[in-house]
Amino acid sequence: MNNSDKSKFLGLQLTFGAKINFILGLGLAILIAVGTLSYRSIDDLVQTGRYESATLADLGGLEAAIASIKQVESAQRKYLITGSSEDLGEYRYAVALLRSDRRGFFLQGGIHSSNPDQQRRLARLSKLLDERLARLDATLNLRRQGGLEAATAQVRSSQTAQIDQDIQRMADEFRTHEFRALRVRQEDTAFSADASSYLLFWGTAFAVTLLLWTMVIIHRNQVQRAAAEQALRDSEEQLRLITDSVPAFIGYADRDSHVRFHNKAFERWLGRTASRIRGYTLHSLIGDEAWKRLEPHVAEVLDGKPSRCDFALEGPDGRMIDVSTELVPRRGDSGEVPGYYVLATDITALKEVDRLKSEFVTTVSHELRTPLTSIRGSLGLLAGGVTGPLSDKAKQLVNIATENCGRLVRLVTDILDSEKMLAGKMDLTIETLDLEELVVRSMRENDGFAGTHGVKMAFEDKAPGLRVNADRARLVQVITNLLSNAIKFSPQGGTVDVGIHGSGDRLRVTVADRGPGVPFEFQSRLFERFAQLDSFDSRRRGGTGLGLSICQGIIERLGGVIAYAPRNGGGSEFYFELPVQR
Amino acid sequence: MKAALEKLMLVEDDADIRTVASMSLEMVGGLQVRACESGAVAITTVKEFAPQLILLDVMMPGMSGPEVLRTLRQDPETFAIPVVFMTAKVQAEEIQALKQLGALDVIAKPFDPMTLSDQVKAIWERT
Repeated sequence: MNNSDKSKFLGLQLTFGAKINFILGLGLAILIAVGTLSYRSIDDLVQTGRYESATLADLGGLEAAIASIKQVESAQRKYLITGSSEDLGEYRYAVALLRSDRRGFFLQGGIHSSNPDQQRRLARLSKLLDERLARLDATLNLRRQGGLEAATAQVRSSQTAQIDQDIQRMADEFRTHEFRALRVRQEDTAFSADASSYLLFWGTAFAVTLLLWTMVIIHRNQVQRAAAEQALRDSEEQLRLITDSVPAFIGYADRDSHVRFHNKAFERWLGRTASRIRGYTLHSLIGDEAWKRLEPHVAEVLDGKPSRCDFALEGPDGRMIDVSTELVPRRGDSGEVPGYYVLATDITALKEVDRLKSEFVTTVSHELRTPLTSIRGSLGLLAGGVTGPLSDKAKQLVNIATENCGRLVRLVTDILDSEKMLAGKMDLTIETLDLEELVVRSMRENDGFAGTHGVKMAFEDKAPGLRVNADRARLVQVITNLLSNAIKFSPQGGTVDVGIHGSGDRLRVTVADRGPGVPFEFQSRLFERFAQLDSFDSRRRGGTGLGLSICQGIIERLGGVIAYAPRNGGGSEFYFELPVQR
Repeated sequence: MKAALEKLMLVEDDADIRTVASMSLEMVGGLQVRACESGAVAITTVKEFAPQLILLDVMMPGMSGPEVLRTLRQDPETFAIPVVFMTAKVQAEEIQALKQLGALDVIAKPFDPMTLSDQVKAIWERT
């Protein structure tokens, strides 16, 4: 996730998506809470309604039962007075109604299961009604057996009056408590409804606020996104204009080497339109031969390593184009390589120039060598006295000419070597060599040269028997070059110290002199082509300025390093290291 | 025991080099030298002169050194005459290529006239 997508939100660094999820989650939680509480409030209202209905039904049942008692008493009194069977029937009917009403009333008792006081009152009332009915039946029996007076006495008895009073009192208590319970419940329900109403209002208001907030954030994000997209389009357009104006192929390919981006140059090279390049594989676009050269480098770049290679590409007119290609991996956030960038340059003209230059150098070198052979040969014969003795002055002049002829020969040889090195065309014949033998041989070959400069050479091998893989002639060339430099720069009567040292899996050859050394400011350019301290020195020492750069090229081709270090006590120390062949 | 080198043929188109090389071989090395200015002349005189070794320039107008060598190798009478090339093309791969054609060795130009005969004799001794 890109940090630029994050912004400060409630003190936290959150992305746009996280913000939206957070707000929507909060809104959802509020809606769930409001819904739950509203449901519970509505449920309370429904329960209270039911409770109210049940209470009213109870009270109705109670009133009906009491009214039925009155009706029974009235029917009984009628029978007690008349004694007719018709009135007795009315009495019995009233009793049946009472029993029915009573049963109906007391069956409602379920809603009072949570109220033990009301249950107790119901039980007491039921018992009193049973007693009252029993008393009515007893009065009826007295009327039958003892006549009107006995029955009247029974009706007017204090016991009967007490039962009636108890029923009335119990009914009043029941009513009072029932109404009180109903009121408490109604108050609770009203409070709950009020709370729910507030919650619903504020919850809804908060949810609407969150929704509006979300809309604001989304809108702001859309504005930012639109601005960013516009900036991206502008940037892409700019990039497109720049890349299209570059006369090199610039492109991007995914892991499967499908081209995802390319500039105009590639269209021109291939003679294809953009739609016939984008999405195509590089293999299908550049052909089998070029792909064969490119494929290993693609594998390398997909491994995360930049790579470069040269290959020839067939242009739309059938002409071959020499291409130098750089492949650079594109890295994802977690380091993976989803694709790679390609920068390919048309080096056809450069190669042709290079070829012409090499040809020119080779030809000129050869053509120079031919007259040099005659000059050197003639001078050599003269100096050697083959044509007769020379005067001292003539001998001196011939020696000067011979020396400079030799310098010219070395220059031609060095230029050729240097050109070969630059063109990567220096072929090496690698074999396993005894380094000591090579060093000793090179020293022997330079004995004469050292003698003419009045310089001695000393050798010390601190790693005898070790061998290296190298090209014999080229390694001798390097050692000879270092030796001749050291001899040239040594003071007369000085010694050039040559040594072989072993260090781990590498062998080091050192050539040290007691000459003037190399000034610090020149040391970094020491191995560059034509690098010389000054032209006067070059002429005096007879160097070409190519020797050390050629030595460096050879040693590096052999997998080694060559370097310079100031010598302790004054002078120079040149050394090269090569891997030991075990 | 192998006979000492006494008689050789020098094939070189450049008159100056031919003169210097001949003088060097004759006066320094004490050798009997037949100098030819072209490959064609060398081919026509080689049987008559019967050299022990031929010192052959590589780049010559008309017949090049390698062509002369090929012609010599096709004739049973000249088949076995050792040939040493002389060339200004002294790169390792060029020398290698010339040796692969069947030359005994390659001497680089410019040569040292005072040691040329020693070089040639050393090569002769090696054969």
